[in-house]
Amino acid sequence: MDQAPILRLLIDAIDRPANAALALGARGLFPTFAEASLGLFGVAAATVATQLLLTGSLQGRVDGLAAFLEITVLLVPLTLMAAFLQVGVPLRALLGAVAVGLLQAGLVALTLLPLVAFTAVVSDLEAVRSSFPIAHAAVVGLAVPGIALMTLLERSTSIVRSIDGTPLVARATRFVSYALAVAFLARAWQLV
Amino acid sequence: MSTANPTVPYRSEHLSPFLSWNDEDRHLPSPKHNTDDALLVQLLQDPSAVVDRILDPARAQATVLGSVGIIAGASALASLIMLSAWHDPHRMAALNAFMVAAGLLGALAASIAPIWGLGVLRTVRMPLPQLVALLTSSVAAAALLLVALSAAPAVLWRLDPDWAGPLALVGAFGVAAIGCALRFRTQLLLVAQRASSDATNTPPAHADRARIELFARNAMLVLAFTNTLAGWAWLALG
Repeated sequence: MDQAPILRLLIDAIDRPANAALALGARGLFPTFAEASLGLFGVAAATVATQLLLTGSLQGRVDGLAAFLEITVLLVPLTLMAAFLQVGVPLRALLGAVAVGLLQAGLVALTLLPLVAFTAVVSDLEAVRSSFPIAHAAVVGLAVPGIALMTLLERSTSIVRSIDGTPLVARATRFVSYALAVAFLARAWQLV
Repeated sequence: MSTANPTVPYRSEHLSPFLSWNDEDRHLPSPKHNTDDALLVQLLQDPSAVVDRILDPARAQATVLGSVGIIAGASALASLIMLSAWHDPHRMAALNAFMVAAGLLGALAASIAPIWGLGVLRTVRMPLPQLVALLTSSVAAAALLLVALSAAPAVLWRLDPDWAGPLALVGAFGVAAIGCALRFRTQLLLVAQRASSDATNTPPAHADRARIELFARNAMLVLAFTNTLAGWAWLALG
């Protein structure tokens, strides 16, 4: 394929995530940070835009985004711990897996925006707020960062699974993924 | 070290069935550790490379000094991250970080001679420089693990300051201590393997292995004792 290298990197991160994580590990930390911050920007922009579209203001705190960032902050140390336990993936490729996961999470979050805009146009959210306040808060604040977080957890752990397919690693990564998802829901429940 | 772990079953990734792929695209390169990784990375994930450094006389001293620096820096950073949930005034936080780093290094220094003595008792005497390098490098790996684990108490303390926070704080130190013990044992076995294969080209005998593991447990007992005293002093003074 004849694409610019940067575009090639992004398309690889979408289509061949494990390859992309290994390539990021070989290329060094700067491309990893670049991809991770691109993904974080996507998630943040989508969350803020959702709140703007659905409530018309940024008056409330963007709590779902805060919970997303906290869980991401928990995920990075877990990759260090995986490296300490000598998973068959080098440390930099593990960080690359998180970066690829973040990039895909940002992409998925941005693709949700048309749906959000459609919801804002066709539904009467004030009525929902008065009769189902918790459902309203969940849709406005948690849906987009929640789906982004599930993408991040699923992708970064599945990259580890496709590079090191040991049953123990598979079980451990699934456990970590579910545990962090539960932690996100608990934290989001507390914030909302 | 060419591959991360040659016995790992090797799987390919899922590719979208709606796109056309050639064989080159399907190929997943085998993960490799860089042989010239920084000490920080090797301490975390590659005990065999650390043992190479320790046994190489030209690099042993730099490894010990680097490990001591990593212990001080990493434990101070870990305590800062953990204390970030308490909204301490900055001066107190800095003092606490210094106390944790100093306490950890002091506990390490106090336990080297007793551990060497225990080695004499078990007839697994190690050359003192090697023992110092092994202990500092495994404690440095544990300090890096503590930095990784310290995010959990910092987040969980905000979630639930009564149970989850304190349990995570104690658990982080506990897991780091277990990690330190496992890493020390791994490195001891690697050094013994290198030493005996230099002389007779055989791995350590079963009885030797048992004594090495006993020695590792005794050493970790001494380290746990001194570190508990250091932590107690930190709680009492800080």
